[in-house]
Amino acid sequence: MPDWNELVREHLGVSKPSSAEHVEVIAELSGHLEDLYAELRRKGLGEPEAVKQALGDRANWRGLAKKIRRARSKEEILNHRTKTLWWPGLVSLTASMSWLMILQRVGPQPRMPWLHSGLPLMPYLVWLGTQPLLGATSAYMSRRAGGDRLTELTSTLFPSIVMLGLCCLVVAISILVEKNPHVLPQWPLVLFGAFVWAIFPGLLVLLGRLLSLRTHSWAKS
Amino acid sequence: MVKRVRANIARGSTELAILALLAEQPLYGFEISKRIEQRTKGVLRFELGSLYPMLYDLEKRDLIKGRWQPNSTGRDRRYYALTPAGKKELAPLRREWRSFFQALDRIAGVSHA
Repeated sequence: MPDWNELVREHLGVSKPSSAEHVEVIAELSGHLEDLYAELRRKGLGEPEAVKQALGDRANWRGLAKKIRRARSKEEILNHRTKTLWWPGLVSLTASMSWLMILQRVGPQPRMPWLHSGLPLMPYLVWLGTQPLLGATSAYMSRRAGGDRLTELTSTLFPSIVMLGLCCLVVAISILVEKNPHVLPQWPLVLFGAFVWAIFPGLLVLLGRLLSLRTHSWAKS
Repeated sequence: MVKRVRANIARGSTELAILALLAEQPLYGFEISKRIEQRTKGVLRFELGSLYPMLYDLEKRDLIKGRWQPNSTGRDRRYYALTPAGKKELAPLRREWRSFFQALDRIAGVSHA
């Protein structure tokens, strides 16, 4: 008796099923071929001919793989994208912004910051210090849900992408809508703002992702 | 255009055939293809490539639901059954096809061909 599971995977071009759903499809098609093969054998066909007839034309298999993907895809893509990108990214963004709000509310807010040297910066520094943890968390969530490297990276950088987008939006509104004449001449300050609120935190979440990957590979080995 | 109409007819008839069979009892893929072949005396034949994408599509639309259970030989097979939405869909689908064939018959006399 041929290994139908193996033959189906080979014909569909799936070396390793990536989800429980793929395993289920392969098992179902294997069962169908097994029944068809048994019927052909009962009709008196020899084993090689029965296998050949059951499997049919190789070109049809390529079409079948495509059709199955299309029949299942909409829902699968949506769920997969939500689990691997949107959910980890939004959790990380919400946690990051809530934490910043809390720190700004409860942190030191002296009336004359210039007299207190670095104290007003404390909430920001504490917030920065937690960015690697948030990066590691969203990377872990995305990876656990089966996200590929690019999706995991995007979900990790999601808060920084949003912050950068907001910076661009604010600058664009100031220049185009409010016709603020001070924005363009002060472009180094604008760039500094983007660096402080988006790029530097982005680098820190990436550091968190890197540490999470290291921990993951150590745990594996 | 003609090709698209033909494809739509083929798709619609496949859908009706599967839903009508599953309205009688839950069946698994191979049984569905065999029953259709037997009942239509070989005129309609569903192979792997057309049957399973259709089953998955119907399942995605919540018209049928698959469940693994052993068949008469003890092997696990995925049995499909109509969902309440599938049962609701079947009656108007039957009416549509009946009126389609009646209309076609009035033009082309297909029932006497």
